[in-house]
Order: sequence, then C-alpha cells, then structure tokens
Amino acid sequence: MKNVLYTLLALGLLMACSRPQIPDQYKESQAEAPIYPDYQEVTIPVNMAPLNFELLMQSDKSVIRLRAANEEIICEGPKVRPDINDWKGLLEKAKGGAITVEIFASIKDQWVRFKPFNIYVSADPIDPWLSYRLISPSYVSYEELTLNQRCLENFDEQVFVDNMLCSTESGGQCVNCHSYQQGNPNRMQFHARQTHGGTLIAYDGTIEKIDMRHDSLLSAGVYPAWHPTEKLIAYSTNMTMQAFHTAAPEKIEVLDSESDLILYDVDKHEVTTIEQAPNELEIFPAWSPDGKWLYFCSAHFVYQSDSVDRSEITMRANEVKYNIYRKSFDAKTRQFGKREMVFCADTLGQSATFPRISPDGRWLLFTLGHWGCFHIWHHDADLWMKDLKTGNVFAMDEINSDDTESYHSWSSNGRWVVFSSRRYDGVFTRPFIAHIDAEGHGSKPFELPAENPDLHRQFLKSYNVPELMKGPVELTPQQVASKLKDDGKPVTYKSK
Amino acid sequence: MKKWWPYLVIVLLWVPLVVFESDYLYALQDQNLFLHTPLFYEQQMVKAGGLLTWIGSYLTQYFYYPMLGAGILCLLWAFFMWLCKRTFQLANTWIALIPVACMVLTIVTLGYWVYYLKMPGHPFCATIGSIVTVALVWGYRALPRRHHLPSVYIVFAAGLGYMAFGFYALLATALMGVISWRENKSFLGDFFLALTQIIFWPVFGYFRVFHETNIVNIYWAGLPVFAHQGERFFAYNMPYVFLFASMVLMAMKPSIKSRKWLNITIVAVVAIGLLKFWNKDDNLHRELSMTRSIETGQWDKALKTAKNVKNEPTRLICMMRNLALFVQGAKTTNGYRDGAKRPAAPFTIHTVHTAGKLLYLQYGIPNYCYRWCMEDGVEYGWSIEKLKLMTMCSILNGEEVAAQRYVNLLKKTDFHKKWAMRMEAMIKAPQLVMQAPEFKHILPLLRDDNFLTADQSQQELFLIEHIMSTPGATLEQRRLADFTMSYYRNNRQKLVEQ
Repeated sequence: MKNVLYTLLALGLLMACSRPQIPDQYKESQAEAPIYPDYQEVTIPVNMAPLNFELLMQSDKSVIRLRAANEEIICEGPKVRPDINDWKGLLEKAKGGAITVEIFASIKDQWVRFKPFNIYVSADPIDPWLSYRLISPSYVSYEELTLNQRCLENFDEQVFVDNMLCSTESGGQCVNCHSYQQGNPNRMQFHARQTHGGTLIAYDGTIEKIDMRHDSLLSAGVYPAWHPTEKLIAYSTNMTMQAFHTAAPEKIEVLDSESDLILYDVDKHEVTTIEQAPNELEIFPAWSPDGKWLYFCSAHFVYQSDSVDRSEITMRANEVKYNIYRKSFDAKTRQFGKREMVFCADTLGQSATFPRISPDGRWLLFTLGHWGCFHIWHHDADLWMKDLKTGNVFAMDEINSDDTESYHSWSSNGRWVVFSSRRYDGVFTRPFIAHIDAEGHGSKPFELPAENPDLHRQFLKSYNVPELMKGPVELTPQQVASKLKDDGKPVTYKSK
Repeated sequence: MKKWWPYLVIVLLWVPLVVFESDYLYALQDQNLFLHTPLFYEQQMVKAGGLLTWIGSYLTQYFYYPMLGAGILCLLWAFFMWLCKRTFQLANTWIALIPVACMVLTIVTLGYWVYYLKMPGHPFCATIGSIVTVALVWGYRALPRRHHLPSVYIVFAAGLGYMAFGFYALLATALMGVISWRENKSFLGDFFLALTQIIFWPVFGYFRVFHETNIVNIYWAGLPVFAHQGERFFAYNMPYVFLFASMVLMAMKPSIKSRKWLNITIVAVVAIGLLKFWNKDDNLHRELSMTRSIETGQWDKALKTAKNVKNEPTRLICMMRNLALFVQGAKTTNGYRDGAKRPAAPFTIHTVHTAGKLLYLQYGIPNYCYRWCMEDGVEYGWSIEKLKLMTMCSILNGEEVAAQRYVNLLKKTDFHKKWAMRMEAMIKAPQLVMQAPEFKHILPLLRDDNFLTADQSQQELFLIEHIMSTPGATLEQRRLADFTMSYYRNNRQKLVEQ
C-alpha cells in the first residue's frame, strides 16, 4: 500500500514539475493563429498584467512560447495563461522591445508553427488602476450596478460601489458618472439616482452626500469634470429622454431636450451657472490640465414650436450636432470668458462629444459620430484627435474599428488612453488601451486582459466610463451605502 | 408496507403536476438559465445563498421535460420526508407531508410571478433549502456529545451554511438550538450559541464577504421576495412561513403518534390546501400553452387553445390568437369573440414582460423584441427565452457576432444546445435564414424605414399601427389589424383602465 502511495506521489510531483515542450519537428505556416482577444502586434505598457489569450481553433494539443531576449515562457494551450511572476520578468527583458509569441499546434498528428507575432512593450508605464461601471447594455431598466476598480498590473478586481446595498424591493438605485480629480482616487465623485439619490463626493478622507437639485437648475449635476487643482467640479445639467429605433442598428437614442453647464464649489456647497445660452444644448465639460480652460460640447438647436418640445427634438434628433467649444477660466475670480470654437463638427455634418485634453495640453481627443450625444450606441462613432498646437484634426485610424468607440480617458503621463469600444460584437462595451506617441499617433489597441481569457465573450455586462487612476479607491461598498442612505446636503445657488 | 404510504402520496403529486402544469413547468425552465461555466457559478456566489440558487437553477432546467423535472421534485420531496423522519425521529411520518405540501405550494401558487420573480432557480430552492436545513440538523444530532463537538458544529454549520444556503442554514441553526433546549431544558449552552450565530453570520457576511445584499435583507438571503413596482405581496410568502413553522414543530414535538384519524386529517388538510391554493387560472395556462405553440410554430394548436377558452380571455390571448391568424393568412376571423380580461395577478401585467417580446419578433420588429429582452434580462434575470429571442433578433438584424455570443451561451446549457447549433448554422450561412420556418413569415415584415419612437407600454396599439403601414403585410393581414383597431376604438376605456 505504501509503495502505491509513494508511486502516486512521485507521479504527481513529476506531472507538476514537467513543463510543456516545444516540438522538435513542425511544419511552418504563414497563417496567423486565430486567438481571442486579438493581441497580435499590440503595444502594452511595461507594468501590464499578463495578456492571457485563447486559441480559437481545433487542435489535439498546442504549445505557446513567449520569448524576449534570453527569457522565455512556455505554456500549454488552448488557454494561454503565463505565470504572473514569469510574465513580469519577461516584460522587463522586453522593455522598449517586443515579446515574440510562437504558437505550435498539433493538428491531425502534425505539429504546425503558425506565423509568430509580437507584443511590443513600451517603457512608458500606465496608471496602475482602472475604474469602470459594470452595467448591462440595457435601455431603461437597471438592477445590479457596480463601480469596480481593477489593478492593471495583475487581475485584482474590487467593487467599491454596489447599488444593491441601497436598493430595496420598493426602490432601485442607479449609480453613474464616477470621476476623479487628476486620477486621484482619494478625490472622487459619483451620482446616485432615484432611491437615496444625490452626488457623493469624497475628498482626502472626507465624504459628503450632496443634493444638487435646485429650482434654478434644470437638474442635478450630470456629466462631471473636476478642476485639476481647485476644489471645483463643472457639471452639465440635462433634461434627458430616450427613444427607440424601430429598425436602425443603433436601437436606442438618448437625447437632451435642454441642457446647461454649472460650476460646483465643493467647500462652499455653492452652484453657479457657467453657460445657459438660448438655443444651445451644452454638455460634457472637460478642463484643460492647467485649469485655465473649460472645454465643452454644445449643439445649436432651435425649436420650431414656441417652447421646448420633447417630441419635436425626438423627430429631429439627427439634426442635433455638437461642436466643441472652450471658455477661459480665472481661478482667482472664478470668472469664465466667452465661448470660443475649438472644433466645428456640424459644418462637417458630424457631432463631437467627450473632449479630453492630454496632460501635456497638446492633444484634444474626442468622439465623432453622425449626430447626437450618446455615441456609445452609435456604430459609426470613432475617436478623433486635434493637435491644439497646429490645429490639425485627424481620425485615430490606428485605434478605431468598424464599430463603436466612445468614452476615453488619458493616463497621467499622457502616453496611454483607455477607451470603450464595441468592436467585437456591437453590443457589449469593453475597455481597450492604446499607446499614444509624442506625435499623437496611436498604436494598435488591446482589450483589457482577463484572468480567464474567455471572460469577455461570456460576460453580459458592459464596461462603462473607463477611468485611469493612480491608485485604488479606499472606500468599501458598505461605507458608500451607509453614506448614501443619509440625506444629501442642499446646495445654494449663486447667480452670476 | 404501511410505513411507505406517506411516500406514495408524493407519487400522486407527480400526476397533477404533469397533467395540469406541463406548460407552466416548461415556462419555469424557459424563464430560467443555467450555464455550465465557472463565470455563471461565480456570479451566483456573490450573494449569501448563492450555492442554493446555483443548484436550484441547475435542477429547474429539467422542466424542459416536465415529466422528468416533476419526477425529480417528487423524489426530492420523498427524500425530504425520509430525512425528516430520521433527523427528528418522528413517530408519525405523515406529519412530514405538511412541509412537502408547502413546498408544492411555493411552486404552484406563483401564477404570473413566473415572469417577475427575481430569484434564480426558485422552483427548487424551497425544496433544496429545506433538505439542507434538515440535513444540517441531522449532522448535529448524529455527533457525539463530547469535546464540545456539537457546539463547534453549530458555528461551522451556521457560518459556512449561511454563505452557501442563506436563510436555510440560519433555520437549521435555530432548529439545532430548539433540539438543544429540548434535550437540556436550558436556554444556555447550544441554544444560546445558536442564537448568537444566527445574529452574527449575516452581519459578518454583509461587512466582510458579500456586497450584493442590502443590510435589511441579510437575514432573508435565499428566500424569494414577492415585490413589484414598490409593492410587496406577503401572501405569496405564506407557504414559506408554514413550511418553516412545520419544521420547527417537527423539531419541538417529534413524538406525535401515528393514528388513523390524525393521518386522514393530515392528508385531508394537505389535499384541501393544495386544491384551494393551486393556481388554476385558465387564461394564464392558455397563455403559456400558446406561447409554447408559437415558439415551436404550431399555429393551429395556438388557435385551438385560444378557441377553447372558458371565460373572457386576456388581451394577450387575443393578441396571440390574432398573430396566429396573421401568420396563417388571416382567413379565419369568425367564430371568436374578443376580450380584455385583466390578468389574474396582484399587479398590472404588461404584455412586454410576458409573451410580448415574442410578438414583437413575430411581427417583424426585432429591435423592440431585443430591447425588451435586454430590459427584462437586466431586471428579472437572464433566461433561455430571452437568449433565444435575442439570438433570433440579432440574426434578423444581420448582427452575426452578437448572435454568435448568445449562441455560445446557449451551447453551455443542457437542453438547448441543439437549437443553438441550428442557429449557429444560420449565422455561418445566412442564406439558410430564408428557408428556416422560424423566420419565413417574419422576413417579409421587416422594414427598412426607421422611426425613433417608443411603445409606451401600449404594445398592441403600437403593433397595429406598425402593421397597418408595413409594406410587406398582405391585404388580409392589414384588414386583421384594422379589425383589431376597431375593437380598440370601441373598447378604449376598458383597455385604458387595464
């Protein structure tokens, strides 16, 4: 009996220690091996988690070699999941160069080596944390919503806001629009709607719930933008509605019948109006990194009826086209200048949304679609860049796909952008990361890697509003829930 | 032989389930989803009681064959009775029929909740949860009374049990406390320990383990919540209350002797209770039957089901009957009176949450079918029905990759792989769609012109207006729409009130 046990133990140890072998003989193929996610010829930051992937082909056996300089990792397929420590070692070796990936597959007793590909490793690191909202791509309903944060250097994922902790059977709750001051996780805000509604603002250890509804405002604050240095947040206020396409592939349209811009002072709990131009729909504020300019989008729309008519704007929805403007801002006097045109999209028959300025102040990245402001549902939406130094505007062809590209966020060093894309199936949004060089050109983006490479093909939720952060948010869902159950502090409105 | 008689009653329960509730049981699995993936398991386990819903979802899929699903249920009920007898050392096994009857009622009283109940795998949860409860108590009783083993067991059973089975483990802990009190005649010792564990573990779970359950619900994890649009319906919890009370009774008073009059009384009470509270709503049963007929393209059967309606039909029956006429060329409009009976539910039923999604697809508006599948999937949970409809909508919209995503999920089920593979063939060879019986009559109704609008939960009106202006609809089909519109005009007030 003892001998059997020892034999089994020895066999077990042998199996544990044996590593997959590269076949001695194989046939060369010039075909690319089908893999998911598509990580062929992508550029990744030096501090990235392993790019786990899956072979999408039938084979008896498969072996994958990842090589950089004299370092290599050999894995068995079809799911390729290199050990994280080995991967980190490989990244260090490949820094500024590339990891070569060779895929060997045994098909009908014949080993084949597919065309090798590279994963380029940039020496530029990316901010180590990414936050996003996990939401089903529903239209009106919501049930389980969470704000999650994921360490990009490994696969750790945490929930820091969960609406189910505040929802009851008699009242649901939506959470949205998480935003940080310069990617600082200790300075964040997000909104809760309906039950226990309000805006939760955390700032260096203090946490407040604000009730921003006021008679002088269209709505409570919606799309936020933290001033980079001051304790100020610019918001749009929106009268939002939804309508549904009977036949178009877009399926849903989210529209504003009215919208304005406001400024919220975190210390004074005071709101002032930034922009309330007649016949203009202002939305999506974004500060320049020096805090001297507030960028925003605005669509000129004149109602044919005497007053705001929701059915009219629904009928004429494809006439709503947003341009990008900016206003100067004096932090001392808290005064804004006049609006200046930055990018005139409507003359091109297009609509521009989500302006985001690179940390060096040179590049303006935005989303461009045929019309409207809710580009996540527009299959034609793409990312475009404007060089604020030269005035050149160009499509980010290296980044864009045939399907939706929408929300985007810069890394603090300005070398990476994370953006949401529906390129794989047109329905579920996934975060993609791309390198941006000094000339504003992007590299081929890669999908956020998951521990189980097949995760994103099974997961029925979208990654919404991906925002890079310098560290993790330290709040727990229970702390947030407890705060949200309090009454919100009212704001005062100060007219200009 | 006599000792097996109580178990024979369980066999008798199988008959009405299969004879009267086949469509209902099928609908339960159609509104359920179980996937053989680690992700599906992980998604269940983020809540206390996650293992219970995972097992419940797994077993519910066997209602695909109603006879098989009902058979499994009956076997589990019989096992529960046997376990009760052993665990509580019952002198009279007939007593255990009472909790079994309650378990039956947790399933057959639901009615329209089949579409609205948010708990995955709920048809089996009361049964599995109760078996776990009694099994945990059996473990407690079986342990030797030395080295504080029973006390240690209480702590582990309450802690680990709560994480996996929610409320049912807390109930087991309470029963252990009751048994301890019965044995020792003292509120100290294990009784007190059980009480502390019942209080402690849900709070610990809330702060340290789970982030999906509101603190007000932590003690009820693993139980269904009968709430809709802000209103709670406690009457539907009553079978659960009696189920738990009967288990407490068995733990407290196991020595009730078997007497003929008592046994007859128990059987009579159980029979009357089941007869009284069993949902016998003819309209709902016809709706479910017609839905199944339409899904499988049995239009004649759908028409026959509608024709034999006993009372005034619900609007949905009329809508499905009109659809069947529409698909068959609208040649038979006589011999049927229209109706608009309010569905027998304690809250307003919108057709889009029941069979309305299927109607949108059949009338050639896949976007709206898809929309309501997505909305309901988010709110009430993903199901086989929704994934199938979303697959078909995506195929009709030419969204092959999205369709393939849903097909891939359906291929991870036990009973819908074949269907998924048929759809996969169409995704790979779209020309097959033209010949597919599921799509043949839908294709001419698809429209290229797009409108940005909303149905405002007035599905039938929306559909009629849409059909009347659909170029692909035949003259007879438009006449049928016009006919229905006249009915609407004449009965506007009644329909609006609904």
